[in-house]
This record gives sequence, structure tokens and C-alpha cells, in this order.
Amino acid sequence: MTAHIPAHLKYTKEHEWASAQDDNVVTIGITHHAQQQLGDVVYLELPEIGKTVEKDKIFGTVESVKAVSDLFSPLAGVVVAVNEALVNHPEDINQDPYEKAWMIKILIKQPEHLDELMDSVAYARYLGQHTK
Amino acid sequence: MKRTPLYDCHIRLGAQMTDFGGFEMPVRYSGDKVEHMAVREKVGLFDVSHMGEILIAGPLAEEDINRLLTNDATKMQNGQAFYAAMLNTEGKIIDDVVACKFSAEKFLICVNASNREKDFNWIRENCSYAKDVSDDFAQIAVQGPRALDLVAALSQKELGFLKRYHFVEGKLHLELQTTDAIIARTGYTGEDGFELYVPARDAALVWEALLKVGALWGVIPCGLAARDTLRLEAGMCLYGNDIDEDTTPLEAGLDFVVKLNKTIPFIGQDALQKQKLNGIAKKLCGLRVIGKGIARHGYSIHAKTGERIGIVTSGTQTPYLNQAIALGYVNGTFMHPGTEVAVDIRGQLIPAQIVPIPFYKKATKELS
Repeated sequence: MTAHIPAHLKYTKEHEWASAQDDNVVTIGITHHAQQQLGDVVYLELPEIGKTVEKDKIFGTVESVKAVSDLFSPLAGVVVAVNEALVNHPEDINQDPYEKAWMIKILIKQPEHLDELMDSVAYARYLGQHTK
Repeated sequence: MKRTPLYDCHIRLGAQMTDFGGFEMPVRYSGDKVEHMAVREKVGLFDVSHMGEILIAGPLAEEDINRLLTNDATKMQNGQAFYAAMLNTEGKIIDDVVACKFSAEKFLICVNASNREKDFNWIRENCSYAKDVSDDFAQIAVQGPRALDLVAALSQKELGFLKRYHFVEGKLHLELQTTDAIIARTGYTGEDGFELYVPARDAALVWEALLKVGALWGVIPCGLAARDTLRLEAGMCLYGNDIDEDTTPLEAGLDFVVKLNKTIPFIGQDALQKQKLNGIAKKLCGLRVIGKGIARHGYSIHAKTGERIGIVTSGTQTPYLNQAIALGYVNGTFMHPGTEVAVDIRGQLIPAQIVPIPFYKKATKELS
């Protein structure tokens, strides 16, 4: 099975994705590969609106039948939106990790940091090296 | 890492693989919940070839078994399988096993994958003749309410008569050939089902035939993740999690397979008798988390006052009961069902309750 990796997103080594909008707001979620490794997700904990998140620091946790896993923010910023519907239906993370299962939106201070994240090609290579 | 004879089948089915007991094993195929529910409602297939098989044979076999295992082999019929613990001299659990009694002169012991070498060495030291035959066998578990239909179809045998924890030697009818099989009505899911011991060389053919014929009853392959949630719902211990060489069968609630009045006492019996006399300080209990969260292996258990009273050994969110349940060792006065406790879930004390084991019983479908 090859992991599904959309071309328009940016990726981290911790298997989060980030999607930049033009107004410096970045949407964050976890990748197809991440949900596959977790198995059926049963709980999700997300920060509240207004909270500051740091780059590469924990912003929440996701818990599956099998394991619990921390969520790491790809970038620093302030939380401006939280997907409350997803907290109530965390199984959507397994169904649709890139659309329905977006987790938070943050307002970033340093848009140039986006370029430090992996693009889809780099992430595909990273997966290839680390999952064989 | 070792592979079972079914490795290629798992890869073809797109299974996600993981390391378990030194083997590269399928953790899931379609999804943990789907696989769990298939076993509760229809039928699921598990590759359990990583389990070891040790043959104990000869005129002293039954004596040897009774010295090695806590259960009483002399009370078993030929064709009966039984669960037991194997203890060291301190009464601590070396392994938990299922033994098949072919006759007083021949037993096959099924052991945990990770303990295979340790067990064999221990058994060899303490018995007249033992042989590790693990590599000769593949083992496939067929579990669920429709397992009987499926195994009966493949063996072309009426198997309804076969009682739980009994086995027969028979043949499985594959597309172009037949193969020998030990057909045991045993399992690790809390559901009706069978474990098929087949020659390693025919394992892939048996697996394919079970999937093909089983399609009629909705069979799906199931991985270790579902195996773990199923056994936990059924309140069964997992060696390395719930029991190990730090625990005795009395602490683990395995009294039902500890026979203290055999003509041949088992290794570790003295220590258990002493423990029984002095009282058991900790006991394996069922827990139900009442607040939000899942109690997992290694999390501490606390009294309502905050005092630490135990530790979680296994825990999950069960797909069938849809509740967070766990097994854990709890001290003294807190071990009674109904006692309100708390589990430290990543820094927060979440309310939980001591409940009876098992969590799930076939047919009642209710949290007991």
C-alpha cells in the first residue's frame, strides 16, 4: 500500500501536514500514513482558540484503540480555529485525514518557516526510507 | 526477524506488519474495529504460527507434565486440551500454555512465541523427553460464531460434537489435496472457535482455502491488534503484560488451573502454598474507566484519596463494548468489584471502577 500524499501540502517528520492560506493562516492535520499506523482513532485532544503553539512542540494528543500519540505543531503560531466536530467524531481521521480531519488553524508569525517543511516529494522519500 | 509460513499471504493482503515476539506479524489488515467485530459477529482468521509447540512424549510424559504444569493432566481425557501455568521454584510464571493430551504418553504444549527458547530449556531440564516442533507447525486460529461452519466445511467433518477445549486429528480438504490437521476447539478471543495446527509447508494453502470457503460467512483476516482487544474483552492474560516472572497464578486470578492436590506436585507448589497461607497482597482486577481516556500498560492506579494502589497491565478502548477497560494489579482492600478508584492518565487522575473479569461473555453481550 502506498501512502496517499497530496502535492499541495507540506509535511513534517512527525507525520503532520500543513496547508498554507494566503493570509498567513495554516491548517494542520496528520497524514494518511500517521492514521494508518495508529489504527482506529477513538480520542482526540486539541488546544483552545487563542492558545500559542510552538514549532515542533506538542499541541494535542490523538489516541487509537492501540496507542496514544502526541501531535506536534509544524510551525509556531496562535490557534485561530479548532475542528470541534472532529473531537466528537475522531474516526474521521481514519476516513479523511486531509480534508474532513483538519485539526487546528494557526496564525503564523514567520511564513518563511513554511519553506523548511518537506514538500510531497521529500515526504514520500522520507516515508520510503523510514518504513522499509 | 523471523517470518511465519504465511508471511507472503499477509503481504499480498496488504497487512501492516509489526515485530511481535521476534516475528514479523500482521498487526491489521482492514481496521482494528472491523476485525474485532468480525470475530464477535461472524468469523475471523488469525495467523498464530509464531506460537511455539513443544512435544513431550514417552512413558513418563504425564508425570512430567504434572510436574511442569499447575493443572492436573491425569484428570484430562485423551483428546482434551487444557490451560495451565508453568512456574519456577518461587511460584512465579515462566509461561502460560495450552497443553493437548493425545494420551498419557504424548502431549503437545503450545507456548508463547517470545518464551519459546526459555520454555524449551526449562522443560528439557525437568522432563524425560521433549522436542521443540515449532517449525514443523503453522497455526491458524478461526474464531467467531461461524467458525464451526467454516472448519466443518473444510474438514468435511461434523464438529458440533467437539466440546470446548477438546481436539481431534483430521484432514483438511484443500482444492487439489488434503492436509493433516490437529483441530482444537480453543482460542484467545472469548468466542467459539478453532485453532488449526497444520504442517508448515501446507499453511498457505490452508489459509487461502479458509478465506475462499469462508467468504460465504463473511470471513476476514484479523491482525494482532484485534487479537489483543478481543482477548482483553474476554479477560484473558497476555504474557509479558499481565503475567510474567514477577507474578504468581494466584495473584493473576488463575486459581482455576492451579491444582494443589495432585499425586505429583508441580514445581513452585510450595511457594504458592506459602503465599496462600500468608495472604495475597496484590491481585489482577478488571477496571472500567468512567472518565474520558484509556488506561494503558504502566499507568498507575490510585485510591480516591490519591494514594497509589496499583498498576495497569493492559488497557484499551474495546470496540464491542465501546468502553475503556483495563487489567491491573491492585493492593489489598481495593480489589473488590464496585470499588471506586482512579487511573493516572498522563498526569490526570481519571475516575475508574473495579469490575469483575471477564468484561465480555459470549451470548450475554453485556458488561458483567
